[in-house]
Amino acid sequence: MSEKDRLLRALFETPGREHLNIKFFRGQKIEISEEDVCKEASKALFEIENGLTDASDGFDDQIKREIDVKDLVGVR
Amino acid sequence: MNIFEHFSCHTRLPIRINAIRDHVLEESKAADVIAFHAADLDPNHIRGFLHFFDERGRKVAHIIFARELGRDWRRLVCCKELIHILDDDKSTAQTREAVSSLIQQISVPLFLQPALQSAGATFSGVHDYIGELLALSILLPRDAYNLLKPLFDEGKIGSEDIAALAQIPETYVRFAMVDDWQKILESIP
Repeated sequence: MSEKDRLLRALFETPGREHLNIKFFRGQKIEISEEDVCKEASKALFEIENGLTDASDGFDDQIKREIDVKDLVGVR
Repeated sequence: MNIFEHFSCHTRLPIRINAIRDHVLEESKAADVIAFHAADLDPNHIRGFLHFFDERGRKVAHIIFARELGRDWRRLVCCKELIHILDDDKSTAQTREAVSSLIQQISVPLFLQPALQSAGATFSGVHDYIGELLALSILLPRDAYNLLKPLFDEGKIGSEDIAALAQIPETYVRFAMVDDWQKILESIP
């Protein structure tokens, strides 16, 4: 089975689920193959299904301070 | 008010990713559950992706990003994928054929991507490319941009400073600081 077949099965053949959308943020490597993309995505979906990711319902922003650009412009 | 209009008037930086998440959940009501996952992705291949599905009547969105990405990149990736939850029907990769086409387009070498875009690839692929620009427009909102651009042009502030304020990759700031940035955004269908 190709990596693409594996990914498509994970997306479209999981019982109780209807696939709605998938989108990718491409990496910086100049040349990547379809199999590279599918392998990475399938691996991540497997991790999620088995609780192997660092998961959270919120993003860990780690923001130390917000700055109002209006104030920044005023002091320059 | 759509999500881009909502954030365009912001001048406080950085924009919080959780504020974008909240807008998608509460204002747009496009998803019932959103979960963020740091996974063992190779960022050379894909930095992250959205997996959006309906599970027993609940719309669930998994925002997945490469664990080894720095904070700025994580923010950009997650912002882009959050926006994709709002994709309209013609922009989604919802069928096997659309997903297959999207993967083909993603796998086109970087130096041929502009040619692919100008050739008018399918909506799901085109929108994947545009998504980065739309994410940038949220994380560097119009009103903040309009205040910072004159300072940048006068050399009083650098792209690395703006990147630190907005907490986005500096390369994207340099891209946004071109004079035609607003025209680029307005040209997005």
